[in-house]
Amino acid sequence: MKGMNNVNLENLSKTRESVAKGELPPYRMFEVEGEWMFGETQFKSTLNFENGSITLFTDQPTPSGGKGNAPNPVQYCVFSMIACYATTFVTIAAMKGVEIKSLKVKGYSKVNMKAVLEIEEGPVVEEVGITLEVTSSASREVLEEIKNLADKKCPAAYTVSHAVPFKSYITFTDG
Amino acid sequence: MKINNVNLDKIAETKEKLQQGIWPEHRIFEVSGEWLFDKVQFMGYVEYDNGSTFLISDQIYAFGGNGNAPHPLQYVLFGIMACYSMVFMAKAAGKGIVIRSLKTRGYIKVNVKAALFGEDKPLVEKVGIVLEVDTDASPEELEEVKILAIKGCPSAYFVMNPIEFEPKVVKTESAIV
Repeated sequence: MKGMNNVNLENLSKTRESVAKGELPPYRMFEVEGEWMFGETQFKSTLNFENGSITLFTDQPTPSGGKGNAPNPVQYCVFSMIACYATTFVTIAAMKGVEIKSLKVKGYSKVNMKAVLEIEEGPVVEEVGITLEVTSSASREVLEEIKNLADKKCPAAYTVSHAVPFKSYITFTDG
Repeated sequence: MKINNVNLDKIAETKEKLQQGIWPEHRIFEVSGEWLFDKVQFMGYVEYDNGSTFLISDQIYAFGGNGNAPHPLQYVLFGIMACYSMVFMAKAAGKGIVIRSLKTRGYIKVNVKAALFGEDKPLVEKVGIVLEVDTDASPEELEEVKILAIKGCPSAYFVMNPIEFEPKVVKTESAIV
């Protein structure tokens, strides 16, 4: 079977085999570069992918010191989380032969603005949630089983639900 | 007053409103999206103050996608880098530190064996960010700003702390025609 749920199972199977044999590295490094803007938005990056590239802009809303001219970074984080989780969920479903007829996803992040603006100490992010609305002929039990696997295998979900080492460095340039 | 393309007056106003209880202390950021059965795999819709936009993502060929849009983890990284850069610039501006330019590089290291075979190791091993800063401020001053940025950045918080995450699956019935 080549594809199911818009997931190419043949390619995925070849990759699994190559990783198992040591022909492909066991780690994947995702790298992105960006820069601060001094115009209508505050930050931009170009993301490259196999068949092209896309430039993204981000800006804070006005109450947080920006102009509200682009999505704010937390919105990108929430989008990335729902996209990553949906991709993992549908891929696992395809690997199990479960057809997904439609999938709608909603995600949110609850941010404590008092902690962000140093008015009080406390968790900056209090909750992250995601709801999947699935149309499938599979039983609820089967979908729940896929969800439990997605919880374990989605890198974005892992980043939210586990403490991951975070390193930040500053380098200086001469003006 | 505006420094580093950050409007400090607006931030001060927001702080005052939060302290007075005029503004809610929590902000909920919501995004919705859906799985696609076409050239890309996922599309989301995001609204902001002055507009709205669609975002698309796709897996690479090797992992069953079409390679026609950025991978979701590239968006994760972009979100973290942008968020961290913004908080860094706002904290610098708050201290009167002028930044002439800021370039940011970031990476996420993912254990493919953990993702594909359930190997019992961390799925995401590390996240790193390098800020390349052009400023007259001293390394010590910037280090202080960095520490404040780590504390105040929601995306850095996502990464460094375990947050309760409970996805829900709602099964809908197919329409009978």
